Amino acid sequence: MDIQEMFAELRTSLSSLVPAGLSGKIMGMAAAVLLILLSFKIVQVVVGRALKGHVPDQRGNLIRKLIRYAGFTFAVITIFKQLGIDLSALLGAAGIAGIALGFAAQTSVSNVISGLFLISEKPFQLEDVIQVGDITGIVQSIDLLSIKLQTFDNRYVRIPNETIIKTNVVNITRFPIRRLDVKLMVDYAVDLEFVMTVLEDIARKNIWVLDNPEPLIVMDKFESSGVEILFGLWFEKSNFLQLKNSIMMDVMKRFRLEGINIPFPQMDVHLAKPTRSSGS
Amino acid sequence: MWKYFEPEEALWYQWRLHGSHAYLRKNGDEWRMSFFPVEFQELRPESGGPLPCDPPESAPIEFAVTHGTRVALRPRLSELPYLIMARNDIRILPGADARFNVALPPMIRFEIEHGPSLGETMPFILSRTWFGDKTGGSLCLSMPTALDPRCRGEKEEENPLNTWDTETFRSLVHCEINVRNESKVAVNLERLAIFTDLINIYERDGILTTDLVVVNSLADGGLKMSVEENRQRGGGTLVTASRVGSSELLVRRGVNFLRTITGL
Repeated sequence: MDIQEMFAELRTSLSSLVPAGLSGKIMGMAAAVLLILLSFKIVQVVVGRALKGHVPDQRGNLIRKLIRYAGFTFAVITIFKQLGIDLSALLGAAGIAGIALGFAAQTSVSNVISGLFLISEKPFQLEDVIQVGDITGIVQSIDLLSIKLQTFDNRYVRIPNETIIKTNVVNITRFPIRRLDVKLMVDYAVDLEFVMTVLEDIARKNIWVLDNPEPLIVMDKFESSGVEILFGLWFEKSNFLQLKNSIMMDVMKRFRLEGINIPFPQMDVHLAKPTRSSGS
Repeated sequence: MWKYFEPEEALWYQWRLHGSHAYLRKNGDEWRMSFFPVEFQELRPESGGPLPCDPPESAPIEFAVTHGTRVALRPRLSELPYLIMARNDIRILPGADARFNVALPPMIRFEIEHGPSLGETMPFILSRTWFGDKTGGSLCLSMPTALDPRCRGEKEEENPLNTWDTETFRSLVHCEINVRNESKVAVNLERLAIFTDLINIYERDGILTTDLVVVNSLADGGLKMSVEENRQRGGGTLVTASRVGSSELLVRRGVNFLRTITGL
């Protein structure tokens, strides 16, 4: 059966259900809507392919979605026109309804606007690791209303865009290298210059530590139990866990070997000897 | 050492690479491999193989299954660039050039003749370093050796562990670098990154050499890095560089990052 026959059959069945003039109108309207949706789909695919590799993924997704929604809107307007409904009256009514809806959809609209800001400002991209409040995870999608994160313990978190705009967002993987700050405490009896030499050697021997930028060693402050040292090590961002685990073990082993004592808070309690008079 | 050979069934073979070892055993289509990497600073002047040996003790063993009869241990330059520091600041004045010899530790892999690679590793433990600023750049292998200009007619120090000694360190890839200053200002060379995308490896009498690497400091303030291919100097080509589309990239990267490194 070819398309012409199919349409003819459809027209016959429609004409048996509805008056003759209306069936033709419905057929024309359906064809027009189909054509509009098909055209917008083609535009969406072509634009999507053209943008791939030139703009970030989330912006490409947004443009594709806008084209699709524009197609739907155009199709709805066409349907109204075909049915002879006056759009100006409808739009007037929509204006009044819009005020009511605006109050109801205040949060959603705020999220949409925040989403647009997020997309234009680009504080993070897909696959970045970000921290929002006490949530840390990999960005899975950036949508008009919210972003979705996959946390490291494999939870799926949806954060409204409005929250993102209002709070501090830390992009952990924005730059290719990072610094791991390890705080150490050494005994007051230890020679600090010797400790510095040992720490430099530990950093040099750990394969996850970058030689450049050089490790940062800062004698930070005098604490009650000992001297606090900041040991900052630069690493390639994907090696965080390897470095974190290995450097702690390296420091422990080497300090033990070199006789460097890591103090811990302790309290010496001196018991006064009881005198004879108090005992009797 | 790098040639294809037919291993006997169920017999372990060993390659010595200046303190590092590689092992291989064939049993039908099953291949067992083991690698012992060492710190690059602990290089020993010994290399050779394949030699029949005892099974490697307490070593992690890798397996590969494929059909093949002849196999070889082959070197290849790391995909990460090698970064080497100058021993002292080197000032190259306009119109002058300086030559350097660098011994690069290769990656090694077992290759079936006309077939796939069975396994690959870096036989020397090297730390990583960053070439660029904190917001962008390249991850590099940090060479623990220092860069010295090669002076004509001057004998190098007689140090048995001088890695530039091609006869002693046959398992390292010996690379010659020429830095030319075609600009009108002096260039201070503090460190040099060697991008390996374009570099072929040749073998001559068991010694591994490369193309001549040329770094040009241009009049417009940019830097251009290229290689001058020279097949006859190296004899047989052991590894051919993957050149597709990499030439321009190499130059661009060179311009972006070498400029900051050399202090231009």
